[in-house]
Amino acid sequence: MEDLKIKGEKGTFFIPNVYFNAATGNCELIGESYLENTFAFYQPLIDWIKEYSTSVQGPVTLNFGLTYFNTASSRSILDLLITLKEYEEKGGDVTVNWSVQAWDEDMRQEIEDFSADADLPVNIIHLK
Amino acid sequence: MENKRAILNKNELLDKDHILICYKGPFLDRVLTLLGEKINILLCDDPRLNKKVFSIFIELAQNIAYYSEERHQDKETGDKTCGKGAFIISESEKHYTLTSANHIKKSWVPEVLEKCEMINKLDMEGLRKLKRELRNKPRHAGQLGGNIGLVDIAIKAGTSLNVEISSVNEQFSFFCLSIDVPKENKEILPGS
Repeated sequence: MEDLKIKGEKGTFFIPNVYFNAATGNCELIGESYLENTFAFYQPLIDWIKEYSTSVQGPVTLNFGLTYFNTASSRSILDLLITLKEYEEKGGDVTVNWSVQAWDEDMRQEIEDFSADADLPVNIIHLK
Repeated sequence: MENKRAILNKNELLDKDHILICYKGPFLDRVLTLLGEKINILLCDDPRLNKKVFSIFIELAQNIAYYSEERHQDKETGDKTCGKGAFIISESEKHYTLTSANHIKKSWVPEVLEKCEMINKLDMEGLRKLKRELRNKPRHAGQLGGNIGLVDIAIKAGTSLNVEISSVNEQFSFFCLSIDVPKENKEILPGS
């Protein structure tokens, strides 16, 4: 299975860096997300997780380093977490981590809500 | 000269609105980038406030880009169009005020007003619950954004949405939305 790599852009499009490794199941989603067509951007990520969960079936660790996302992105992020939950329910080994700045209470709130709505634990990692 | 001197001397203007950013025109991606950068520069000393103001700006600006009835088209937009409108950030002693304005269809006015009134009646817990309900709904065809921008603005600011709507002509109205973002974090201030 192929890795998924998307180079983040900052300046006009503001898409995050994506690196999903098919050999290790280590998935990184880092940067900022406030693009217009969020569904089109996130669908390949969701499809990759689905394919990984049926063909590779190894452990998945999704590391979020998203420092900012608009409300349009938040629906897609929830869909990504729901897809991971579906894999976990089928027996998949799923871990989700999210790095947050110590002062960012708004982000902590968002993460708690995502975790509740996807019914998936998210480990909050505090950055200094 | 006095007016210009007053504008340059920031301290004198803290008792009345001091306009930091003012833009009127198409809300293209590159415009959002520039205005966003300016916000980051102005508020670089307070990352928490910077992010709040930036987030609210993006939601307001993207609402104009997607939904304004006045449209703009150029080489950058290609086949698509981009909404036109206006935006101001002003500063007073205790808060920043973000104001956006754009044309909307008259037929949408009752729904928009109702939505804003409903948002203003909710407390923080109610707003969070509403945001999650809206976000968790199945997507409908042609939906661009997350449908939760206004709720998110109210949550981040912790204040009410101020709305003013006036008629432009038979078809369109001028929708003006303003929100105050307090400079101090009330949750951590003792005795507040």
